[in-house]
Amino acid sequence: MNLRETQRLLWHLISAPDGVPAAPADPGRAPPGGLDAVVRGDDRLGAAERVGIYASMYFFRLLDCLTEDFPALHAVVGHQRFHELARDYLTAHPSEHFSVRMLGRHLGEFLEGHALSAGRPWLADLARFEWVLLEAFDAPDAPPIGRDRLGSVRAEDWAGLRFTLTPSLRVLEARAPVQEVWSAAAAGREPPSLAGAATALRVWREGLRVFHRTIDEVELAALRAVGRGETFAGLCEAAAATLGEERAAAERVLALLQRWLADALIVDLAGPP
Amino acid sequence: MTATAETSFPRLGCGIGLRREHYAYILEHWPALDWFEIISENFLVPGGRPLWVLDQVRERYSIVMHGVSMSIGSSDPLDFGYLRALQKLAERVRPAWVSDHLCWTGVGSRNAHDLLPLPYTEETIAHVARRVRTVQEVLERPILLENVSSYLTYRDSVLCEWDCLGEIARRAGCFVLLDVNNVYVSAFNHRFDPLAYLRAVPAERVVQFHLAGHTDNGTHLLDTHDHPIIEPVWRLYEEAVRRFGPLSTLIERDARIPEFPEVAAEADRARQIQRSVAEAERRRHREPSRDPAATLAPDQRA
Repeated sequence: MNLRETQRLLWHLISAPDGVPAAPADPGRAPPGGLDAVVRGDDRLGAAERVGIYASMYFFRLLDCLTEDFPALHAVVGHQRFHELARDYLTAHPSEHFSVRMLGRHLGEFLEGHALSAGRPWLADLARFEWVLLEAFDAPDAPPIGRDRLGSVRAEDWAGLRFTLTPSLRVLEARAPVQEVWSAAAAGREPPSLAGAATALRVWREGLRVFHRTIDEVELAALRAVGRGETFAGLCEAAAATLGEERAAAERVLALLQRWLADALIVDLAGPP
Repeated sequence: MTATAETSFPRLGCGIGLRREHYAYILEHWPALDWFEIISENFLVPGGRPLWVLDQVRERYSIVMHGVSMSIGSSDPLDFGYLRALQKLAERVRPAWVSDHLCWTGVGSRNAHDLLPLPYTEETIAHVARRVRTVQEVLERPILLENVSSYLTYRDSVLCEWDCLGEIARRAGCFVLLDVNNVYVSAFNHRFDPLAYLRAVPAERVVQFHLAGHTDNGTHLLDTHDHPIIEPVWRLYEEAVRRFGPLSTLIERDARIPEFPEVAAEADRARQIQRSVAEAERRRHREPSRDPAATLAPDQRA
């Protein structure tokens, strides 16, 4: 066999979800002469057992990584179910990135269609929440602006003012208050049972620490508007559409801006052209 | 002049791997230590705490970048996105050198995140040597390749691991990070003499040693980095220091990580071994038959 054939075979063997002995049963992959024709066994360990060491390291290393990255999900579903989920997930989404840090990036989406989520659709949201916590943790650094910067905006420039928020900011809409499950797991408490109560959250990093906060529908609409690159006037329109009235909207947006300043979310301002 | 280990690389002393379990201790105590080695991939991130810590550490200690994802032996194309990210990190960190492993980590665009062994053949030597030259062009520096622990041998292998490693280093103009524990582990698993490995690796190519603990599973040894270094590995290290000199030595601990001083104590022991080997060398050169004057007391000299 040439190098590529050898590597393809070994990959197939070590990543098979049900272990090495089952894998060579695939006639298209099985080497003529069996595994013994490819790998040397001895009196201590046969060829399949030697390949099995790699198969077991492959799975358990990645299982450890997912367990570390999704501790609350692991706590909620329990180790055995998490193990089975990891096996299914790695079959559907083997790592395709040089960094194992990226391994769990599809887990939230994967859980949407997985049997484990039946009756608990918020498990997918919990996975997404844990993922955005990781994203915020090592997102690009960006120093926040100070209060004086907003204070020095001229009255006539306000309507056209645009905001750049910290690159660590993530906005998440969940089908249940998954942050409560996460907090319980982080504190080592029994996770509460969740039902209903759709929740919107923002996750961000201030300095080196990652925070999360639930947000109401006005803040959600305003953050989405900033994400679309809209101006202060656009934010007020989005808030008014959510509130159903125009007069209070500007006040609400100004109050939000104060909170965003306090949370170190705003990293830049741009006046009208 | 051809670059050799002696002319191209500083001798850093004895260090330990920078692990997040020790961040708080390091930032509080700034312990006396010769150098730190980082796992490059842990810092190939946009920002946040990992890079913040690294910036602090690199101001005070020499740093070496040790990677696990180059997959230099894979039959897939090289990942130039990864190499560019590595080069960018190297510009920020200014490491004493950059290393990875003689292995492959995946194929078909999939990554096992494991150090998988290669068949030791002429095809492998030519393939890896060619890729190392490309990597060295992208990174604008020679790299070090480390021998891995392995648990299987391919029937296609026609060479010894050490001959393959040495020949790749010669053809590609790269250098060797000799992991003494990996030599010991693989020697047990494949029943070869670890001293034969040490004797065969080209001395002018070896720049650094790794030392670590492993797990004895009875039928095989597993390179787990979760135990203290065992006595036979320390003895093999002493042999390596005798043959290759007091090269930069790094203690690796990646699981069940004890308090910082416990890992640092293993770096101290490595330093002590380097001193005692050097002392024995000096004594050997002072023997009367070789240098009679050295044995005379000062007042007996003319």
